[in-house]
Amino acid sequence: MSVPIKITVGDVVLRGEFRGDELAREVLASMPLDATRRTFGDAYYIETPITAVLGPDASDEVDVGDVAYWPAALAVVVFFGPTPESAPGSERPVAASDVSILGHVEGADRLADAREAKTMRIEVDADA
Amino acid sequence: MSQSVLLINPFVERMHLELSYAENFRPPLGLAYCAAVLREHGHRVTIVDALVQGIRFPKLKRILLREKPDVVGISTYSPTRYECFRTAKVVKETLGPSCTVVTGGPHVSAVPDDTLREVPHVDYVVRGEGEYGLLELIEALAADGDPRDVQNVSGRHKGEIFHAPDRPNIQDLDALPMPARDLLPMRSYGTRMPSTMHRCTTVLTSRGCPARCTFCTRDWFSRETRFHSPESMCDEVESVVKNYGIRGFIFQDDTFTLNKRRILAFCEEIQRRKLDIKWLATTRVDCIKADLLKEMKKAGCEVLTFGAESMNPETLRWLKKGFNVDQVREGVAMAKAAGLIVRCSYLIGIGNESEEDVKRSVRLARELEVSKLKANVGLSVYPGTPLYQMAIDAGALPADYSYARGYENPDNRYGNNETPRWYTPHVSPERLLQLRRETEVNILFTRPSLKVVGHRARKFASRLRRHPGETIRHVAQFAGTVMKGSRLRTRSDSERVDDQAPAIGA
Repeated sequence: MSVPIKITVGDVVLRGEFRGDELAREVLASMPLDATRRTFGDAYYIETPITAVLGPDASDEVDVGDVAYWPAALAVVVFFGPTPESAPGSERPVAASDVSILGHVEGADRLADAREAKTMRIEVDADA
Repeated sequence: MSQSVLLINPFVERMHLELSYAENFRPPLGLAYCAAVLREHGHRVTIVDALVQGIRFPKLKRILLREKPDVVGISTYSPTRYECFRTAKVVKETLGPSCTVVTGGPHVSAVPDDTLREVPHVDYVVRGEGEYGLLELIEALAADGDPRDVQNVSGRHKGEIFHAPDRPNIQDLDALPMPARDLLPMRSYGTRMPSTMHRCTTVLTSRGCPARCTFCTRDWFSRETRFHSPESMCDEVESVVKNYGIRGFIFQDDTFTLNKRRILAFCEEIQRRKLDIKWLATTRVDCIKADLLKEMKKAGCEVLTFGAESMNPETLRWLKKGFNVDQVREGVAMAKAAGLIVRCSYLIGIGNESEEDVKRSVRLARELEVSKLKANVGLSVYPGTPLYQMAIDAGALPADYSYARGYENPDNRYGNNETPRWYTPHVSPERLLQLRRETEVNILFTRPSLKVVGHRARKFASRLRRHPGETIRHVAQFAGTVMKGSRLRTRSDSERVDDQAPAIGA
């Protein structure tokens, strides 16, 4: 069963859903996540207390709006545009190493307006 | 106002001895970057790499009196912190209070309070990336400005320690000048490529690492990774080839292939420019692709080192490596299939490992059949690492533990002997060392080529001719270590256990 989530970076608030798989449930159990926001191109990531490794469907191919668990950084990543791994001229993000998709948020391209924000918060959306 | 600045990589007796036989001196790139930025802003800069040049305190004093610098900068790492702080003392004693002593580097960045409280000879600490903190501090001091306004600087004001706010990390690495290698004794660094014996040097093409390994200061020092462009990487490599005739390179990045597209472009550019180079790099097993590795091989990559650390799943989790045993196997196999020499760093006796865990982990590691497996026993608890906090939380290390205290004690000849060390609570450190010997985990699997043996023999003969007494003494020391059943390079661990390093466990 999917779970509604909310991501806040500066003034930008995005809403979406997490899948109901085991890894997503583990990450949801650790919420709210509120930490220093780091970047890998147009991807923001924050640390989690989760020390999981990749699931069987892990890949570095992602889409704008995908929210994923990145084992290399023990972090949750939100992709909103090209990363340093993206093909030249492509807007499609590519992860630095394989990630496990946790869910998706709508309107992720608005995160480009929050480059000055220092933190990111991910939580279960109580209003949904 | 132009200032005269002397930057020192301190002399450490034991490292000098070990590194000179291993021919593994590397240029202090951090100092060279700082020097380049200072020089770009009109300051007169000298670098003294006392470690590689064997400059002990009497000679250093003569250099200080000759140069009479306004500011002395000293790079400080945790294992060598005592020598760094003693160097600061020598500077103050030689030049008096008018010379400002600044320290930088991972150690003092993690514990500026401890450093300033315990080491009166250090005036300021520049935390984090040093280039612009040091520059602005020097310019503030010259203009009678307030150092408290300089980001990343810690110091004393009216007897109280202050910490100016953090400075954002440098985002555009390409905007930095190349490290001032011309100020370093480049011919003195004897590092060679392992198989071809190409003389080699170091290059840093990215800063920071997103990984959160338990033992690493990156978790605090610089988690956000920034990259030099492929063009800038090639420019630096080409400049070293042209200016120094060096064709071997060690890329010192924490995770060289974190940005694979960048490395692919770098490999293409190396081939386009027809740069005949050999190189080695370090990366993670989960940050590689088969096609990338093949391109790396084509562009001269000879050796790839993985921080595999363990084949025990629980230990990998404890280390927060973020990959599993299967990924280690796949990564190693992929690199070997690409024709690369593969090395792995390895750890035993950490986390909650039992004796059986250690034996199984070593057995699985040997099955990887990598060219070199370098196993350390236990982990040094360095400040600024998650392990440091774990040790405090576990009550194994007092929250006010001082890494600087005791630096003036002449018996404390090497800082790392005093560094607390974390071992599994289930096996004694002595037994772990015995296990390492019994399981022969610390092994170089590839046979050295005749070229390598010849090179080493010539260097040894030359050393014996130039310094017969010293060389015979070193050989005797080495033989004594072997007779005790340990190899020279593992001596540090033996001494830590035998001597005084506080051993702590989970």
